[in-house]
Amino acid sequence: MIHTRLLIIGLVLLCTASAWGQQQRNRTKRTPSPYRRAYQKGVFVAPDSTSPQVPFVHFPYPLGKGINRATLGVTFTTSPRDITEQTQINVPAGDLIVLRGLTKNLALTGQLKFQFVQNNLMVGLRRTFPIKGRFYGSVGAGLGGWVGVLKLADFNTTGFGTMANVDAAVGFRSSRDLLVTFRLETDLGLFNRTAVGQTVSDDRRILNNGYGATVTLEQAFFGRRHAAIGFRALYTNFNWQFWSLYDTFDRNIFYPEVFMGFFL
Amino acid sequence: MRSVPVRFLPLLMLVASAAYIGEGCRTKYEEAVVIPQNLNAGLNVAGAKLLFSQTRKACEGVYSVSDGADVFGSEIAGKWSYVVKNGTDTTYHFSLFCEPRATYFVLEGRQVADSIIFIGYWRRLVNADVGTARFVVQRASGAKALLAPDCCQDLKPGDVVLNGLYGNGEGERKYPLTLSFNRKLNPTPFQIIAHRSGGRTSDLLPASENSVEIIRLAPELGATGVEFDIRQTKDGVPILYHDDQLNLRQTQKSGLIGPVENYTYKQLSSLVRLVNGEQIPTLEEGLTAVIDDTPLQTVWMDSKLIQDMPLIREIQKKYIAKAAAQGRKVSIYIGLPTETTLNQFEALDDHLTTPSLCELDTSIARRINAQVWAPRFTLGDPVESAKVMRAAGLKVFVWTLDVPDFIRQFIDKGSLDGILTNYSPVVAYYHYVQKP
Amino acid sequence: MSTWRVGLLACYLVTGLTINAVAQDIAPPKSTTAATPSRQQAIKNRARLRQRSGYKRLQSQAPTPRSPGFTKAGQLRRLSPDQLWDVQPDSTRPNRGPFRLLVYTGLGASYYSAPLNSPVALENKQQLRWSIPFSLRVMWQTDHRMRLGIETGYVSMYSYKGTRNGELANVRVSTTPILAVFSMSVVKRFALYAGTGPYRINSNLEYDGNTRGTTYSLGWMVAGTYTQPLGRNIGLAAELKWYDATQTKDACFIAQATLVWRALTW
Repeated sequence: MIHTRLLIIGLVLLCTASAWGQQQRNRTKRTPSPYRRAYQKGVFVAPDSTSPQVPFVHFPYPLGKGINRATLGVTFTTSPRDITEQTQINVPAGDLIVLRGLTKNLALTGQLKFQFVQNNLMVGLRRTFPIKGRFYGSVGAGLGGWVGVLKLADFNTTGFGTMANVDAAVGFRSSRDLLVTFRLETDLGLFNRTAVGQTVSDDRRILNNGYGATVTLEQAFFGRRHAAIGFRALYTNFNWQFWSLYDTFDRNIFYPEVFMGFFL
Repeated sequence: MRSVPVRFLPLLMLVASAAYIGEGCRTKYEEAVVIPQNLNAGLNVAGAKLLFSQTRKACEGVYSVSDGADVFGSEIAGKWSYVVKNGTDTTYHFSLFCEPRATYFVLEGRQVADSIIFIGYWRRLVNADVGTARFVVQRASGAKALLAPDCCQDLKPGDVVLNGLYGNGEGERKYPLTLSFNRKLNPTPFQIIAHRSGGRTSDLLPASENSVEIIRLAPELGATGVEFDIRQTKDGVPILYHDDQLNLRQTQKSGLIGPVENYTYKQLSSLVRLVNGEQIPTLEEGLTAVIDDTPLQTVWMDSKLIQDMPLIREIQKKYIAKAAAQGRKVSIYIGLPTETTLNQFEALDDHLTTPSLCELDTSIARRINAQVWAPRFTLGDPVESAKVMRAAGLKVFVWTLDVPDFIRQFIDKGSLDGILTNYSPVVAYYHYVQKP
Repeated sequence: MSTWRVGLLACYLVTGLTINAVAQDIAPPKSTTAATPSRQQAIKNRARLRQRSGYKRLQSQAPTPRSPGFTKAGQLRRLSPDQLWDVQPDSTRPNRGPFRLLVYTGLGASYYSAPLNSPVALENKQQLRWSIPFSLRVMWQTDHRMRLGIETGYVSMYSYKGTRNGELANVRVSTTPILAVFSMSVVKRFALYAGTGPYRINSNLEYDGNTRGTTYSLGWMVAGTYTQPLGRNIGLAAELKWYDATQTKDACFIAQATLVWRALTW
């Protein structure tokens, strides 16, 4: 069954990501930190009292020019029962998020969600600005697409589509080791093409697919490793992960997502 | 000090995640769409008469839309159906099928003085949009011809005009919708087979999937056939039920859980009700409804989990004979979706003469002398295979096709004898408006 | 239900908990084994520094790699309130612990709070929504803010009976939750819990024979406890809890007394 294969791929991915995270325990030695003695005394002295102590890709904080940040992880979502009914397809997607500082307040964003037989890539820009105190904000926009090839068992289908999104985020630096980000986004579907065998169906309508709200924590995970974990509530009438189910409902459906990413 | 709410944000986030995981969807679209009820008032006026059968037949056709084309498309196909209630009470419905968003109208017609009035509701099957509509065919707009005793020789485009108004929800009918007769319906034989005995519960229909009530509703939605999902209870009674578990997607909360096969028919009929309150029907009740209450021509009995194939065969024989006795042409096929059911079927002594529908490979369909070969639509339009199978005398149905673009192209290629769909109005529209 | 969902969730939980368990097991660096002050000492230091500083906000330059956090005399630099706020020990510090394993066992009363309409075909219907639930929870108290654990138990959620053609029908529905639980201490002795996982739902029907049914329903829980210490390693908690099995739309409210036992400390 296709589901079994996808499930295995997902689990292998999860385990690989975990194992990758674990192997960092014996890293190459770094130059001694000038704050080492402070560590030893059980206190932590930071070089800058306002900057986050942890790396971030979601938190709307300025990133220096040329600096890269990336996380690799997984996203879990439940299959909507209106579409899949009694069959539950819960295949995690690999999730690579990249942030590159272009100027102090402008950054290039990239996100690749991959399940191998179907993948989604979004590239965009985000502009950050301080709000007040430990609150920061950002606005961003992205453009991207999805592609899927499902030629297994009873399926001889392919599809791709382009989409765009606009988002606004507010971040709160709860502590240097915990960054909380709340983000709202709206998705536009620009073009979708699917094919079964030789028969092709195009959808050229520019549609407001739906809305999403995300809460993310970026924090220390273990050792010196950091992680981003979050929850995303997506309320949309098109979700690329379920394109092959040919949902025909003209109504938004709720997709909860839980994701976890390890900083590279 | 950090504030307490912020400190607990992570926990709140986890609570939110936990609350929504598993919830899936169905947060808003929980209930069936309520069809406007205050319709009969407009029909039960003094002097209103039922329409003659020849008048009804003459009304069927493809209509061009002048006012309202932006909402309902440029063409609409109109077709009559009937439903029998309580064994004797026959009601005729004039259904209109539109292209955009699986929209359909279900109307009743009366002759009032020298005009014809149609009143009913419309709905979009893909969402919860619903409303009412009223049409009048005045004497000069075609009622004279339609009501004539010798009705009706070939109507020409524009001979009949339905002047109407429609409204949204229970609101006032204030938007114009004008339909002008254009041509007759596509006469090519084609089966529009409604999934789950008429339609899915998730399409928010007023009757539950696999109920007797949805079978009676199927013709109004454009279906010419239905697909049943058959399982057997612990005591062997064949029933119509899709999922492998009793669950809230299909039934009201009763405390009974687990496979339907674990329960006796007496337990299910006493304690379990489908989501819209109906009883889980037996296969025989379903077939009785098809033959006695509807004009449906095809029954695809999808064998979900069968222990006693000879019993299913006996029931099939009985109802084929019953239909023949009533002069009805009803094809009842035993659907074979898996190797297991195929083996059970091949164990029947008379399987080579038993009407069957094979979802498996073409070679298997020919080996068991199936009358229908039914591939899954996700394999693409089976043009070449269909040619071979049709040349061998088999019919070809595909399942379960709901995407309008694919439906149009599959019909246009003309390689199929029928389509199994959740959206009968869409298949009906594309089939009937196609020019032969 | 979804064997997939249960299987996947189990894998997810096992993998996640394993990662955490392995990750926590980091031996402190050799150089830091000696003379590591306790957390209390660090807090005292902080309080002393804040008291001595006597100003609202220190304007001195922030320590940088060229101007580290120590003076030439080897004393810690005086830090601004913001910096002091930031110097609290956190998960990135190398000296981890202590870790504890806490076992909670509870007994109390439950009320089935989801809508329940027993079948219309029954006559002389009687419903019972109350029951005596039992729960067992094992929590791993980390040095993070959050504790992790698992919870199970047994709740007889509801039952109803009635007659059909003079024959008695009796339906009982119970659940055994299998939940991953996260918890956080709010103020001293008061803690909040949130969890998710499958609920194993069992039903028992006595009518035309006896039929049992089982299914799994994904759901969630929240709870709050107030714990009164009774001894060094034992306490008694008052607990309010909400179980919600979303797929089967079953929910119940529970009030119970919970015995808390600090089973292990390392």
